[in-house]
Amino acid sequence: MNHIQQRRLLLKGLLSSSLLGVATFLPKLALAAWPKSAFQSTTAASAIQKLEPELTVEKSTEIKIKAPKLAENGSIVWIEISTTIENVESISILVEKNPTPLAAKFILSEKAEAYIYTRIKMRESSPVIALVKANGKLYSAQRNIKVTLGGCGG
Amino acid sequence: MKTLFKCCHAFLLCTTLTVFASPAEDLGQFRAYFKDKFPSVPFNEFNNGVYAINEDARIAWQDIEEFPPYEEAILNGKALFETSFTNGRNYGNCFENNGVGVSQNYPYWDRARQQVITLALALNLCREESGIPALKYTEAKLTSILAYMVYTSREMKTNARIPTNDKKALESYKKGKKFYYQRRGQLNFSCATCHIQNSGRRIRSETLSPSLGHTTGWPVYRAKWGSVGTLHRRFIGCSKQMRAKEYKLQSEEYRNLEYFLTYMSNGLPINGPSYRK
Amino acid sequence: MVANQYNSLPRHSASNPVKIKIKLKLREESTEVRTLITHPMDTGRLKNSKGKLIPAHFIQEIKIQHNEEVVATCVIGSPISKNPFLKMRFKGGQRGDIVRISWVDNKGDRGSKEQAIP
Repeated sequence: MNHIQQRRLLLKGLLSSSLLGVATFLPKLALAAWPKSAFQSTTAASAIQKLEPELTVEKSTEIKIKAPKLAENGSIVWIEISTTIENVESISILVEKNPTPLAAKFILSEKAEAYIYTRIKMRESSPVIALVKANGKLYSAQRNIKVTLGGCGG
Repeated sequence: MKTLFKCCHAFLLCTTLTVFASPAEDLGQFRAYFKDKFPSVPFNEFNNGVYAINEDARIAWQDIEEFPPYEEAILNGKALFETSFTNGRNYGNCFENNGVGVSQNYPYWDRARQQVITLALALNLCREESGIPALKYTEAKLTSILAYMVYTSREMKTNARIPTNDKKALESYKKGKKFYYQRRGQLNFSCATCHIQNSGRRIRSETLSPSLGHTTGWPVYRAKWGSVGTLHRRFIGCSKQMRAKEYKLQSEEYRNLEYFLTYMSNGLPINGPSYRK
Repeated sequence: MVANQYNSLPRHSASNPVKIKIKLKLREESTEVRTLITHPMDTGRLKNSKGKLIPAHFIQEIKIQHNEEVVATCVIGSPISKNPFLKMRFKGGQRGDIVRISWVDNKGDRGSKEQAIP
C-alpha cells in the first residue's frame, strides 16, 4: 500500500472512531527506580558510569544507528538503534552535547528485539551515543547528528 | 544554458507586473516555471511543500504523520462545528453542503460584500448573522473548526475562481499578486525572491518551499508553534523575519494575497490540516 | 511551547488530558508496537513568556506489556521529545493478543491503555 493510500485509510477511520482509548485501572505496577544521578549527569561519561558503575565500555561495530543527515528541528530528532549483539538487556541513548546527555534507557526482555526508535531533543549538533548492555558487558557506538538552528522558517 | 533559461524564466515571472497577463496566463507560467525547476516532482506532490523536494525532511515528516499532531484539532473542530448557536442555527446552515467538502472553493469573491471572503471570515460572518460575537482570529477554536472543514475537503482540487462579471474581483486578485511580487521591508525581499527565485535553495538552514502548493495544507500544525495555526499567522511570522510590515490577520491585504496564492495552486489537492516543522 | 496570544487551550490539564495512541502491526515473526503519549516533557530549563521557569514535568517510565508480560521498560528523561514516540518489536504475538502501554511521570501521574493486535 503506498503512503497516500495508507493515509486515506487512517484518516477515514479518524472521524468514525473515538481517539480516546480505554483507560484501564491497573494494579499499580512497580516503578523501576528512576536513576536520578545518571539522568542528572552533565557528561556522557559520568552518566554511563552512574548507570553501570561496574562495567567498562567497549566500542562495537555491531550497533547500527540511523538518524537524519540534517535534523530540521532540534527538538524532535528521530533516531533508530538496532544491534546484532545477542542477549541484549538494554539500549541507552546519550546526546553528548546536551546539558544532561542521558535521554533514555530501554530495558528489553528476552522477547523484545534489539531495536528501538524514538525522538530526542538535541541542543546542538552533537555525537549521539548508543549504549548496549548484553551478556553482562557494555558496548557502544556513536554517530554525529547535525542540527540546524533554523533560519527563516525557524 | 539551463541556468540562463531559469534566470530568464524567473525574471519573466517577476516582471509580469509590467506586462498584462490574465490570471489564467499567470497560472500557466507559474506551473511551467516550477515544473521546469523541479522536474522530478509530480504536479500533485507540490502540495507537500519542502517534503516534495527534500528527501531527508520527508522521511522525518512521514514518521510524524504516523500519529498526526493535528488530529485533536480536527476532532475538536468537528465538535465545535456541530454545536448549535443559541438561536438554534449552526455553522452548516451558512455553507453549501452543510460545510462538508467546500473548503477548496475558498477564498472566493463575494459580489454583494465586494470583498474576498476566506473560510475564517465566512465562519465569523456566519456567527454574526446569528447574533453571536465573532471569534478572534487568534483563537484555537476558530483554527480547529478550519482544521475540521479543510479535512473534509482532502483530496479535492483547489478551486479559487475569479468571476468575470465583476472587475473588482480581478482587481483584488491583482492586488494580491502585486503584494506577492513587491519587494518590502529592511531586507528588501519579495515573496517571490525566496519562494520563486530561490525555492529549493537554503536560506541559512531552511529549505525554501515553492509557492506552488503554498495554500493547500492550511491550517498547519507547525512544530515551532506547538499548535495548529493559519496561513495569515504564517504571513505575519514571515513578515517579522523579513523585517517587513505586518498586517492584521484577515486584513484586506492578506485576504487578497491569499486569493492570488490560492489561484496559483488551483488544481492541487487539498491536504490540510498538515504538519510542518 | 511558550504561551502567547494564539494558545487558548490549557497546555496540560484536566481539559487536555494525556492521551495514549497505539498502533500494532504483525510482522513475519514479531509484532511491531508504535505508540505516542501526549505529554509536555518539560525539562525545567525553559522560561514562559513572563520570564518564569516552567517546572520540569516529564514521563519517567513507559512499560510495554504483551498479554501481561513486560516486554520493555523504557526509563526516560526530559531529553526525549515532547509527546514521546516509541517504536519497538517483540517476538511472537498474534491477532487478539492484548498489548498494554503504561506511563508514570515525575509528578506521580500515571495512565495506561490496552489494545488488541488486529
